[in-house]
Amino acid sequence: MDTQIRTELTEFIVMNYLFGDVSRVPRDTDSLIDEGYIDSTGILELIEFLQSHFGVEVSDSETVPENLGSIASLTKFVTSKLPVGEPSS
Amino acid sequence: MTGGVGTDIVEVRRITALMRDRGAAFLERWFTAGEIEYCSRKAMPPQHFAARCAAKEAVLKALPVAWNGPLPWRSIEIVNDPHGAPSVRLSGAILDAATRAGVNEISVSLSHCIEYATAVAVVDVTSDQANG
Repeated sequence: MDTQIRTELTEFIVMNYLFGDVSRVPRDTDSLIDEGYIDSTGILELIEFLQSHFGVEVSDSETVPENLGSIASLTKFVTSKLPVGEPSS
Repeated sequence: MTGGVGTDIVEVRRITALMRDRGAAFLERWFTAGEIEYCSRKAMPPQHFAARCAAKEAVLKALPVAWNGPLPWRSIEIVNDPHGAPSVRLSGAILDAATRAGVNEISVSLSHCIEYATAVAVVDVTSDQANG
């Protein structure tokens, strides 16, 4: 499931912020904000995407870099919020 | 004494899309009830919500605070006087952090057109904090 979630998150970032350029895909641990992949509006879009696409609730206290800062942290966060064995979408 | 300046720009179409796709859930997560009421009665609400997004980010950039906590967007409220002039009202943890940093006053200016909304924030801090 981790791989599927990581792939879907990466696709969202590539299509929305990298103009579909897969050659610029961030590494798993790259900081999406600090390294300029997404901007402040992108963070809002990303959180709304987690909720609409994966069906996970993101509380205010969870909107921190530890959960949202990289593809690796996003994958870990989404995985932790999904029931075990349930498809992501 | 001026302590910091922040600016931000937001594409209105992206806020329009979030409002279309996520509706009230999007607005209520990121904006206060007062902001929602103010923007919703405008002819083109997405431009006004986008301007507030820009203003919140501009304020966060201007504050002399290394903020690593949850996104404090509802705790950085943009309020308008009867003539429409905007000002900033902080609350919660971001208010505590700003107070500890010596922030006296925050000035903000917003602007928008069909495509973009932008804002500039200027923070005034006590001279003791600014020097130290």
